[in-house]
Amino acid sequence: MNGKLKIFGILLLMSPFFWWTFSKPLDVLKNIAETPKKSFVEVKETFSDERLAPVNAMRVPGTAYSSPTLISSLFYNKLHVVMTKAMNSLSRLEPGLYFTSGALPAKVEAIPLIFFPMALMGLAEALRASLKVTLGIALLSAAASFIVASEAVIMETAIFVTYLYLIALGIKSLPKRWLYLGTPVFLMYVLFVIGRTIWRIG
Amino acid sequence: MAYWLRNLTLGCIVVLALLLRVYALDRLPVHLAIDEIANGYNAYTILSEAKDEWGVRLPFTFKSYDDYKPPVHIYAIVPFLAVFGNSELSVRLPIAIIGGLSVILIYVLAKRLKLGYSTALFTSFLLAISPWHIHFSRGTFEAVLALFFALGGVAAFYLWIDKKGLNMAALSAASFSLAVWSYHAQRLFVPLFVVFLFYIHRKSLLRLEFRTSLRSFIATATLFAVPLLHLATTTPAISTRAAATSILRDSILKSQLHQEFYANIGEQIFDNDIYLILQHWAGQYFGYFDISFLFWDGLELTLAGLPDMGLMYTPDLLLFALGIFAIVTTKNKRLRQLAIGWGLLGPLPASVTMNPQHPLRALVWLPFFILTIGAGFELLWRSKHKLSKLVLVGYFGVLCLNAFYFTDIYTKQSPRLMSEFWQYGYKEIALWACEHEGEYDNIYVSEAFGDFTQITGSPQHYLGFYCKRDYLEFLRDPSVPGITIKRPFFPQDLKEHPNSVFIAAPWDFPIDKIDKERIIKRQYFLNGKLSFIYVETDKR
Repeated sequence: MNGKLKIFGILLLMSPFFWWTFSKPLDVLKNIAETPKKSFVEVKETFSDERLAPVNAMRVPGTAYSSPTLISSLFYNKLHVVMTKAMNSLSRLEPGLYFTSGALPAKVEAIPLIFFPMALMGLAEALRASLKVTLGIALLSAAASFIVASEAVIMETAIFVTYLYLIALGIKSLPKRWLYLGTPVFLMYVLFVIGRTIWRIG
Repeated sequence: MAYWLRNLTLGCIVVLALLLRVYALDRLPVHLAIDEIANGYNAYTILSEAKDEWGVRLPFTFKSYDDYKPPVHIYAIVPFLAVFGNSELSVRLPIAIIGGLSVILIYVLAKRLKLGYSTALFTSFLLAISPWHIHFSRGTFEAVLALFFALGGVAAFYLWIDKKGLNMAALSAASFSLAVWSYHAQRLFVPLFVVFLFYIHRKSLLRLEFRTSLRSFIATATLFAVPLLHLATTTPAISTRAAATSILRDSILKSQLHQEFYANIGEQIFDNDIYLILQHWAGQYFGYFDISFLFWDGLELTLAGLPDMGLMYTPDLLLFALGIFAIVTTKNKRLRQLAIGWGLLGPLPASVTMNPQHPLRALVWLPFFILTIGAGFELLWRSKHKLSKLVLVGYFGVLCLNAFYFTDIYTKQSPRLMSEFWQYGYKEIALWACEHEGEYDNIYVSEAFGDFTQITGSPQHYLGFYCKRDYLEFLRDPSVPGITIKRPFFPQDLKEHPNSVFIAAPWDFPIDKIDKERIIKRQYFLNGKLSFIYVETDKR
């Protein structure tokens, strides 16, 4: 096993997201089982009245502040609805969902916040190694969130794993001295987060 | 690129930037908002009496609505009022002009960061057409002025490091200091950013040849810092504003905090208030990295949930992603360090305040995006790959469409949907009240209005500004004849205040019980909803 994978494995064991998922297998399996159905509904309802309402609200004819008909039909249409959904899907990549209490119902950090700088360093490493692969992973994660319902564990897991991998890359690129100096601080914070997770679930 | 050609191009971009910020400035945004009118009124009192609205002579900070407005912007309005009179144009023109001129500074900075001429011109073009910058440049937001000075500070800093021009150290310090004096958020950003700049260029700055200029930098910064420290230590000016917008006032956070009353030891350890504040701050900080907020719908030009505009154009996302790659992999250390520093420090001041995703407070972050997108552009511009030029053509095509979309949102949709949030209607009321004052014993103007939600306005400032009078006149006892700020209380007011007019929102009257003949005038928001009605009481 290479160094990156070892670090990845350790990080996985340190992350509340993993333990939360592991401690609620039935909920997780249920969520995964429901994903195809939810995804179908999600796609089916793309152009529901509710989702079309915002664009229709922009097409108010007959006032001094109405858009010309051509402009209205060019900009406020079904493509706008699809684009909104696509951009909302990209929003699922936002680190706050994983590094603060966003992705887990127990209001704990899915990944300990202290690892965020490592994720940034890992992103830089990944970009240096291959732009195509990094962009590909990001877009695939976003595409997954576009298709499946936004709260699906399966999608969050994909992004979670991506972040963990980036952190592993970041840690691997750290100078040894920094690593030795930082380890006690990281460990203390991780212990605190794990303790908080147990306390919240309990 | 020939010297004359790039200067001509830059000149054209500056003209474009000014046009986009000055065109129809008196009617777009549709009305002077509550802070704009306060700025305008304070500038008017400075011009007429050399005092602010509270009677303080030539203040260093304007108490205004207890928000202690920074002074630079208000003083900048004064000459425009003297020339153009009390109008929307006078209040908005200084910031619009400064916003337009900012494109020169981003060009200088891009050049100092060793980007090519084409890229430097592209970055200035990007700032010229930036929806984020245009919106706030047109609406008298002092953050634009602060950004201008911050950009000036950084540009001068690099000119100093590169030994170009005289006294660049002092100019840089003065510019950074003026940024601090121009907008609250810069009080956190500028010191951190200057420390960061000094840190990354410590090797150059510690050289003997920089000793004298370093002293000059410190002396200038001290000159500006002393009055600020005086304000901070002897008045509530700094602390009041910081407390009013602090993250600790956030309602979600407040509901989570224990205020030191913990139920048990577990709660005290694992749900500690310090940890909760850190978590909440981190959530707010990360919220600024939301792609949808940045490139799709974060500018708040329309109501929540409706199609909106991002802080940047949507196709910019492509060049931004390439720009991140370019910055990470570039050998241009100066660009990489500055972009990363600006990228991480930019949202910091906004994230420690109580509102999440606040585009105005985060405006100081804009240069990071401009430079990163510029780096992405340079990557494609210099690439020999046959697809790269095609991608650029596609980018400019979609950018053009997106610019039309922004124009429609800004000139049509936003005025219609958001007019009440710009206090729409108070100007008309002020002009009517002052014109008809002699015909009635009293004219009462209500401070409560709104269709979408109930808003508390500041009609006394509109009356003071447009009628050129002391606004305290309108806050006197309601029984004294004249124009007074007061909400209607019907039917009692019908008897108690004969020969008067009440101007208020329709929902402030028992509308079904009012004789229609008493309603002498109706005003509407731009969405067609009734905003104010003028109700006459019995003649004597």
